[in-house]
Amino acid sequence: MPDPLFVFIAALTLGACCLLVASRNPVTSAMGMILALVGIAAEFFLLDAYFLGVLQVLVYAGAVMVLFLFIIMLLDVQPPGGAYPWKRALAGGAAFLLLSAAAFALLAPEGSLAKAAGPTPPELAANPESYATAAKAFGRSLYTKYMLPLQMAGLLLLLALVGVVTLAKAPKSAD
Amino acid sequence: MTHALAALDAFKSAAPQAGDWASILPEILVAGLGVFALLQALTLPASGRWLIPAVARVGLLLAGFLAYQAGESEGARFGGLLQQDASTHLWRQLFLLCALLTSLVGGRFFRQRGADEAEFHHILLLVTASLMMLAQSSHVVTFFVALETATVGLYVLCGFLRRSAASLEAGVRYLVAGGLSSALLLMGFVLLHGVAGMHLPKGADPLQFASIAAALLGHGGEPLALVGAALVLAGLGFKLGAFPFHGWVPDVYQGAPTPTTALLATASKSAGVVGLVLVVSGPLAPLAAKLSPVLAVLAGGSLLAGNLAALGSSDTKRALALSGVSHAGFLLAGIAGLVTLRSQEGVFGAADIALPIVLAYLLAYVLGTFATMGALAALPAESDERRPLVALRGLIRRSPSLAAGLTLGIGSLAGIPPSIGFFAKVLILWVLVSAEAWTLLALAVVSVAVSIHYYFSIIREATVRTAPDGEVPPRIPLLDRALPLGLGILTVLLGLGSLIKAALG
Amino acid sequence: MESTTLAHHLLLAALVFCAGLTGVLVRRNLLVTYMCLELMLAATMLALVAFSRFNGTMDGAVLVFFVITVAAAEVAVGLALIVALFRRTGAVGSDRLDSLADR
Repeated sequence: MPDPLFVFIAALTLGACCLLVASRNPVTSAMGMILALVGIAAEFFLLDAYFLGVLQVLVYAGAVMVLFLFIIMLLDVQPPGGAYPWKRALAGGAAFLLLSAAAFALLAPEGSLAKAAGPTPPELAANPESYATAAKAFGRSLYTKYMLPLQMAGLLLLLALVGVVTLAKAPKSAD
Repeated sequence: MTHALAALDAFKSAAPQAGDWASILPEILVAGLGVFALLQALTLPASGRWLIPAVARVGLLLAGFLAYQAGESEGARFGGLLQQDASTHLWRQLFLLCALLTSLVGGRFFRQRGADEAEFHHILLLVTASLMMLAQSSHVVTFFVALETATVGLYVLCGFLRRSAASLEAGVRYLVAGGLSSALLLMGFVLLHGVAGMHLPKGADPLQFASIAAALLGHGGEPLALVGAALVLAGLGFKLGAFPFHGWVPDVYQGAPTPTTALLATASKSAGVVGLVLVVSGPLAPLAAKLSPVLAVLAGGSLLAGNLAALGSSDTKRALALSGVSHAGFLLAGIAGLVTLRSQEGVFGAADIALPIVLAYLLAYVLGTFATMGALAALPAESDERRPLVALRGLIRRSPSLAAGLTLGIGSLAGIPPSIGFFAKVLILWVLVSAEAWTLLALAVVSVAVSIHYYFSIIREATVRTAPDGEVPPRIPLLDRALPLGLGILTVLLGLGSLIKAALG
Repeated sequence: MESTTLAHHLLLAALVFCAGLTGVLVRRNLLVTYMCLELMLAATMLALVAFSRFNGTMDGAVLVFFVITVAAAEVAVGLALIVALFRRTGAVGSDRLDSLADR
């Protein structure tokens, strides 16, 4: 049996996912998304990835989802009127069940996947920097081995910035 | 103090060396030019803005020269994040060619429609630089970041005509298709990385393509690895616009501004091809026996689905988009042949020239596509997203040079001898014969026959039918007329050149 | 924690991924579809962190860092496109996007 805390977080995350997918009100969907992301961040903490967990909450649940909510409010998206589309919901539910049955079948066999990690495996305790528990290890890795993708990510952010400005600014009149 | 110095030395030896940066000089030049385009937009007066595209084009030529110069250098760079070999430099030149042609087609097109040239060139150059990085990636991190940078740039270029609902809609549709593709691709890589991490010795990097291959060599049959491989193929299939992931292609190609459509059809498809080639010859190489039937099904499906759908289309751009799906089928057939040939040893070294053949096919496709799309972009139309076949009626009277460029470009896409497109198709068929893929060969031949039908209906509208009376011939600038015509003539010259070479050799 | 295995974590990641995929396939509201795409990316990050933790490698965790960066850039551009489209047509339902239907 898995750890009760894990079961709680997993149930919370999956419930939030259902809220996101099934709700007709976009604001409810966004709230479900935030809850799911916080659940995933809590999972990161369970997996000893504290830095990534904090990052996830700050960037995703914080910045990205606030942006989403802001846009939903800005566009004033109303839930569609009329009856709940049960047919499509049932089709979606069936698809989800099918997909998750496949996932169960894939992951159920007892093998190397069923291995348990102790709270701190001995090799990690001896050499804590082999696994990212600290922002320091990230910084070192990003500025040595991963210097090139870091620069590329910088260009990606510039590109996104210019792209958003291009898409958002008022159009000039054509000549 | 000494402690800090020692730490600094350790940092310096672990950080990329000067030689690493020197090896990606063309990419640095192109990306730098992209940033420079923004600076020019800020500082140049309105009368000097013609400099922006001019500088970008000269820089692209220079980068092409640098990539050509690097023709012999090989080896791992950046501690194994990149891997260069002879084909890397050819891919780079192909992407640079696509960028140069897109800049030539798009410059006036966007200026006329009130969109900003500086931003267009900025995005185009950064997309090109990241596609060039993609072509030499040998690590999941560089592969993913390069592919995503290019994709995000293409989202913006699809929606670049922000006053046109169709352009924005194409952008949004491409956004959903692209996002789905990235998520599938990433999940696939994550599963492969997990399987690799379980079996590799401590200290190995499970995101490195070579280590994934090493781990899969012994454990390739694990269900997790197979699911991972399938997800990676699905993600790349979306990028390529291959069956059964081609649903987004017609809508996006039709709605996007024509220069972006040309870029999507050529550079983005080439990115899918180079990604697929890197993946099947890198991390998934141990699964070759399982991959080749899957690739063959994707190839055959794309050939059929693209051509059959194109038959019923009455819009020129849409027909060309659907024909692009069948071209993706041809490319996939070439890759499937490559994988099969690699798994059987010693067929006259056919596996070694299968990759250059795929590249040659792409070159022919790029030239033909830009000749056609260049002609379409030069033609005035009520709206860019609707270019019905009948609008081409009597083009030969209105603008003989455009009609000639269009006809030659379509001829090359259809594979009419003596164009380069004909030789490219013959070479792919030759790969299929060497790989003994008879079903795929039959499908390819049938699809060529089917495709001639709709390609000829375009040519017939443009050259045979007469224009409606009283239509004024449009005034089209010299460059816009010369480019399609020049590219069309180039396809024929290259075809004749290969004919002479084949006859002599 | 002793008895929570790698398979448990991966199963959660897979279920979240499947929920996101289902949402992308069945939802018609563009904003919700886009959120579901982001959910799929979050699920891949969870799988990455789980693999990294259990295999004891650092590289997977670094990839998560890049995925977060890429996803943030993608969201910015995607929302800009959606807002621009909304301002142009006044619709965010993807079945009401019909200016491209093949007539």
